[in-house]
Amino acid sequence: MGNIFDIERFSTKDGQGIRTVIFFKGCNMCCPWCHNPEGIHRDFELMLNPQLCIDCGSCVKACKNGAIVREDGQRRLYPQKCIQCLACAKVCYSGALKQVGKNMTVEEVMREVLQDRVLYEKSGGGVTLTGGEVMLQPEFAKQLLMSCKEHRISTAIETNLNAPWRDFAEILPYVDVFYVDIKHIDSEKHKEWVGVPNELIIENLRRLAETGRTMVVRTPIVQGFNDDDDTITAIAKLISDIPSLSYYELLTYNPLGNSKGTLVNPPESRSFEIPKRERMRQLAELAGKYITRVRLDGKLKR
Amino acid sequence: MAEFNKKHIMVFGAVSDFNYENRLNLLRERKLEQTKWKINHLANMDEDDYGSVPPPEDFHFEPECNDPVNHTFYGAELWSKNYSDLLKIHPVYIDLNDVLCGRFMFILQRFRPFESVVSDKNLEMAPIFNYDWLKPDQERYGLLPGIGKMHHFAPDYRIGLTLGWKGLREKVEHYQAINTSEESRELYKAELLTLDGIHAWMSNMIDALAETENGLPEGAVRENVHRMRLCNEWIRENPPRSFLEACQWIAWFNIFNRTYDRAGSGCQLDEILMPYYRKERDAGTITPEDATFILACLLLNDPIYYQIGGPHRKTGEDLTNELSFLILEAIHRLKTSANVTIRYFDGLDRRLFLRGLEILMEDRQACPRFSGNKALVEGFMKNGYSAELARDRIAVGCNWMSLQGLEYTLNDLVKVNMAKVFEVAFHECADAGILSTERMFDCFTRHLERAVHCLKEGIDFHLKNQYKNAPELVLNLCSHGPIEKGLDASHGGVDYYNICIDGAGIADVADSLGAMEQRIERERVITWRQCFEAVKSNYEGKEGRYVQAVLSSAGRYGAGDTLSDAWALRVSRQFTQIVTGSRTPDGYITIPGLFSWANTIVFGKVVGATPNGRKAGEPINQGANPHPGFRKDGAFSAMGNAIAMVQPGYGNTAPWQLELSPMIVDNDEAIENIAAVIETHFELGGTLININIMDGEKVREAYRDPSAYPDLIVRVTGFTAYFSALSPGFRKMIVDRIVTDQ
Repeated sequence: MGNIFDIERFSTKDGQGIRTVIFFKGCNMCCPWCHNPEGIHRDFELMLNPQLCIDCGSCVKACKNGAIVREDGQRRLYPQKCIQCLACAKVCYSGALKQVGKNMTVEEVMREVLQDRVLYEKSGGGVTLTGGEVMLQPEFAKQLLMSCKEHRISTAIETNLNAPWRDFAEILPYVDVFYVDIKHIDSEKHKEWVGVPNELIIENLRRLAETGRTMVVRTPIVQGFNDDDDTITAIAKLISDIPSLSYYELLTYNPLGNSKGTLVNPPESRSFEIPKRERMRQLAELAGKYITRVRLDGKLKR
Repeated sequence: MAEFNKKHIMVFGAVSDFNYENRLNLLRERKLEQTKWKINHLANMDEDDYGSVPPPEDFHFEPECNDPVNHTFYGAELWSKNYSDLLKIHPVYIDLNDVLCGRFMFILQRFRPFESVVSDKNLEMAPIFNYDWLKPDQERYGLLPGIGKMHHFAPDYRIGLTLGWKGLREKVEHYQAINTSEESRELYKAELLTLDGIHAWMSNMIDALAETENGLPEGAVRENVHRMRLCNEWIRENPPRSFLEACQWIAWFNIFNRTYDRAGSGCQLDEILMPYYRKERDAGTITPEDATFILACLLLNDPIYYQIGGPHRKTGEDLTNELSFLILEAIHRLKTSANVTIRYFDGLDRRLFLRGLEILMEDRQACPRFSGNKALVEGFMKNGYSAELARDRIAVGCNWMSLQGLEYTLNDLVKVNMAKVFEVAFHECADAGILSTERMFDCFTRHLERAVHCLKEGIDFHLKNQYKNAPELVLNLCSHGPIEKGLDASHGGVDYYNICIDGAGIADVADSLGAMEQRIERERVITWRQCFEAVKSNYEGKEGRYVQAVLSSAGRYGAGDTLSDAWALRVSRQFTQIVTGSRTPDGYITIPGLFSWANTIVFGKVVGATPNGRKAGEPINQGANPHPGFRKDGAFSAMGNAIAMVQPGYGNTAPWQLELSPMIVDNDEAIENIAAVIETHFELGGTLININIMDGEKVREAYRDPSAYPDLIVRVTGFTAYFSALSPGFRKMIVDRIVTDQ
């Protein structure tokens, strides 16, 4: 079983062609700009969309811990009392309370995946595993990738590379493309912003490069963190001699995560200014001095 | 009889720098102005954008009526007399920037009481032809019987292009001497009067061109008018010889067709025009640039439905030729509404396919659209026809296919509102205590059989009486058989009668059954009693809202692998079996489709609340599309799969109406990705795809203030229209349909 918080069909931004993207719950980093914050915690969670509430009162009846009560004619949620048992979400049909995360078997995921099988063939697409961090559920990831391969579906994973190498070695035969995030070269700054140092990441990058497996390196550009010339130059230089590098991609910070609904127990996050288009182009051109193929938000810089 | 008034010669001035680009720009601007006039002066145009232009303010025409009580006329004699009288005094329209002359301003059919999408009275079959015994079931099931409706089948332009107008007259006179029954005599007399009217209008135009030419100084503008005059002088009698003459002939035929009864079906344009183009190209008298401009003018003249590409009927080889690309280029330069379909098949020149996608994505004018040859041909053959005939059945309407000049179809006119039929069954089950989706489906099936039988009886009535009500005097001229036999196309004149019966509301039925099966029978979240009571109360009150939330959050048709998906397939199969399983009582073949045209809102208005959470009066689903919001993500591919799954599969379409956010297409692989989706859909059995590339924010702004985006064009349900011309209800329907890639 895998803890999955979303399956998205017809993605065009997570790999070549048209893809089905499987979102693994749980991450070992805590990036304050994460646009999938519901993927960070490993457990099932409760998400709120109060504007969808129809005030049926089912959640009040269902809550055994007094976290949701009716006071002064209104429904109120006390997060500090919420034990995330998710009993309320199970009886909420308006979508105001939703469970984030679900245990799924490989067969259940594949039923969804196989619906677009013809489309993968036509578009050169396939399945992408992402998260959260895929490699926190290495066994499930491996089983899922194997099943994709049995059905001759192209595979990709998006990973922060912050996991034991032995787990990567296990899935290597079943992954066609690795999408890896390199957020910063400076380990201290890396730890300060995302919660972990980057030595393991850089080491895994080196090992992955040695395998010759096709990879794409991505850097989400966040103002104040890594949007300076020196950082991008350093990353570009680091990856410039990887023979199997397909391209390097800069991604403009995406604030969409803030509009998905509110987690009852949200991870730490911040809002950032969206880097200006012109600045992104400058960084892409800078990277282009070291790397032949640089993309900016899905578009090749020529 | 009134005489032609020379004050009704309308001449629009030329742009100062007289080149193709500038001329097109001004023509486009004028079209926008004319559209604005139509928006301000006519009712909401929840239908095609036509090439009609505003008439002179002082123009007046009153038809003669033989039913003064209902202010209508019927029969070949009065149709032809009124038509001829109108054409003889019809204003003449000349735009000096154009290379073609003439535009239409009136639709004779609409001088009679007619049924628009917002009206509820169908007097198109003159009341003297009574079918009251059919009305109880028509009303009970919300049927559109198509009785008295006109056109919606394809002519064969080659007949007219080969004979010319004089040749057509000679043909009529020839067979007039052979077929002497009363019906034939009346028809031939009417056809000759029709041709008189056509001749008169063209003559007035030629006179006006001569006068205009004489009043112009030497130069390119005068030369252009000179060419127009020579062209029209020749084709007034003779078959066209040149590319320009062929396009002008086609434009005129379209104008006459529209003026008669709004008929807008075209032809395989690249195939038909190629001989004229090739001859001139080889002689060095035309360049691709010239041809593109002429084509742009033809498309601007009226957004008639044309097809390009596809397999040759006999050889199966690709019809794509140089003109196919020039037609796309004309669309690209024109940037107004156009209705051109690329017929996709395995042998299609992929460059045409990809170029069509490029233009669609760049211009965002919802053109071209795409039809799927494989399913269309295989499906039509199931009716007992050959592959050759099936290949000749081309996309020349909103959702419909037609054999050129050979087939009478009532396409897009005969509809069963399945949501209404389901509502009848649902309440019958509720009142009888039937507590099972299976048994409810059986009840629905019985009512659907009765509804379709009522439609079939109506079709027979129509085919018996239509020639006496409203004969197809213009389309007859370019059909194989009516003139030869002396019989109207609706009454035995053509060889094939394949009457289309469309089902509407499949998603409402499927989602209702799926929701009840999931929430009541399997999960036991609510009871049958709660469901019945909530629906009957229109989901009012706290309990009603709760039940609505429970039902509407169940798995939906389109999401993939849901109970509602399974029900949709069953509904489609059942509907198909009922339509194809027997002919009409008089023996005509009926072919199913899934299409609601612009009736989506009107159909919804007559249906109460349904157990998919839909409230009373809300629109039913669009054609075969799932309801918006059926799936939060990946809607694009899931929708395509679902619609492919429910295709009736007998040669008529269940179109996929698709709105895409620019976000989905804004990457380097966008064209290949969209191409893959289209190819997949057709491989899975899809028949027709209509695509709008729409910026959600822009559309929402346009919804709030339509005048801010006067040139925003959308493909509504198969036809294109200016967004600002649509009613608020239709604009909302389009906004709700937008799929965004979050």
